[in-house]
Amino acid sequence: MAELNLYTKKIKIINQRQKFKLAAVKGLVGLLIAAIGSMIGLSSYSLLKAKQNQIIDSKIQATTKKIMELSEVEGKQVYLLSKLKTFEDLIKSQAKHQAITETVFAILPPGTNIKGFQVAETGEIQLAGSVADYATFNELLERIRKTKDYRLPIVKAIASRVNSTKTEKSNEVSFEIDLTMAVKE
Amino acid sequence: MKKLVIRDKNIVSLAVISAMVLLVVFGPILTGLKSRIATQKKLTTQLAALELKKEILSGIDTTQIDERVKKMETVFPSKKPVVELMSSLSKLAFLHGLSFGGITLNPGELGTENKPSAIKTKKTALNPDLQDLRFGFEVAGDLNKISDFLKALENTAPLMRIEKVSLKIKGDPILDRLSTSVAAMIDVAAYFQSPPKTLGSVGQPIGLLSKKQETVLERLFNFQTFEAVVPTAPVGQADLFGQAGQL
Repeated sequence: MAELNLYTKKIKIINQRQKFKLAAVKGLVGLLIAAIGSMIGLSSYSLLKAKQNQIIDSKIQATTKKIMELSEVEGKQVYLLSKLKTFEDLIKSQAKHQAITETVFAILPPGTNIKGFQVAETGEIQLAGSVADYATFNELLERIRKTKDYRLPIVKAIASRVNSTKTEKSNEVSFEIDLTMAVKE
Repeated sequence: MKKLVIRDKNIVSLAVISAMVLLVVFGPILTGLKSRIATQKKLTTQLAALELKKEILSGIDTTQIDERVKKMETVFPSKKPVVELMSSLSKLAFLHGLSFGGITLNPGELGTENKPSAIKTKKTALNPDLQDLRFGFEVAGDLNKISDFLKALENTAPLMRIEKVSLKIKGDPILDRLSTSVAAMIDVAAYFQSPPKTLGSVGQPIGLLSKKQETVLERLFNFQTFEAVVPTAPVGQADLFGQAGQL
């Protein structure tokens, strides 16, 4: 006599459900284990980083101490660096003033009176003064023409005023000459 | 299948609880780790900068830097170089066989050295800490000697710049043209700059001198220096009213 199973379909569904439940539990447990593992790994890594930071920090402290010991040298270096830039600019400016003054002195023949001339870095000088006679004045002009002999070349010279004053002893010549020198930058 | 999972309340609850536990535990761990990595990055950069600074400072020759600072202070001082300037100019004039005098000094305010100078070059304004001291004097003698004196000024400490020059003939140029004595009235400006007040923080980087700066520094040693005579004995009467003996 054949046995008739009326719950075949239902048993199949229940079996499937149990299998799935088991797989899901296994999966969750696996995930939890993996998460715990990761957590331990990450925590260890974080602790390692903290330890490393501590070591770096102690190195920073030691280096800072060493730098503090060298503060005298640092002070001197800072002093030099702070002054050098201005010093460099001043040296350049001083050289220009010096070159202009030397050029003016080079063109003056003996016996020249010069009213104060302001040294301008542009190289434009107003030379006002007097000489004893025309011969000396000619010598002055001749010297201005020899432009290449001087520290700075004279690119332009304009005699704006030349007056002669005759006395018993001399024939004084007063002049105003505008000189332009080529100043190197 | 999906329907089966959703319907199983135990599994859903377990999954939700697991997810919450993971979030609660992993959140702080990840945040802490992230912060530690960032801190490490910052500390490493800081250490590298400090190591570099230490290396630079250790590499500086102390004898050489002492000499340089001393020379810089002589050539480009930190305080008004009144005595040094007068001493240098008078000694330089003496060396060139010129008479020296007619001093006019414009020392400015002696108490306040912080007032910035208005000196400007044509191109750029110089350092605002830079200050100047104007000084006028007269040298008399042969024109060539005066010219040599002016050339020597370029390399005489303290650093000065010729601002104005006048020439006046002494004697008769007609009668004795070659040996005519000349008096030159010269205005110079000497410069000084106060040093930096602080070093800054330890972490502040420090630079090495560039080749160009080394060359500029070499120029310092071309400057001729004259010893300034500073009075060492007490000047003036210490006990003005003769009170010490009576007390």
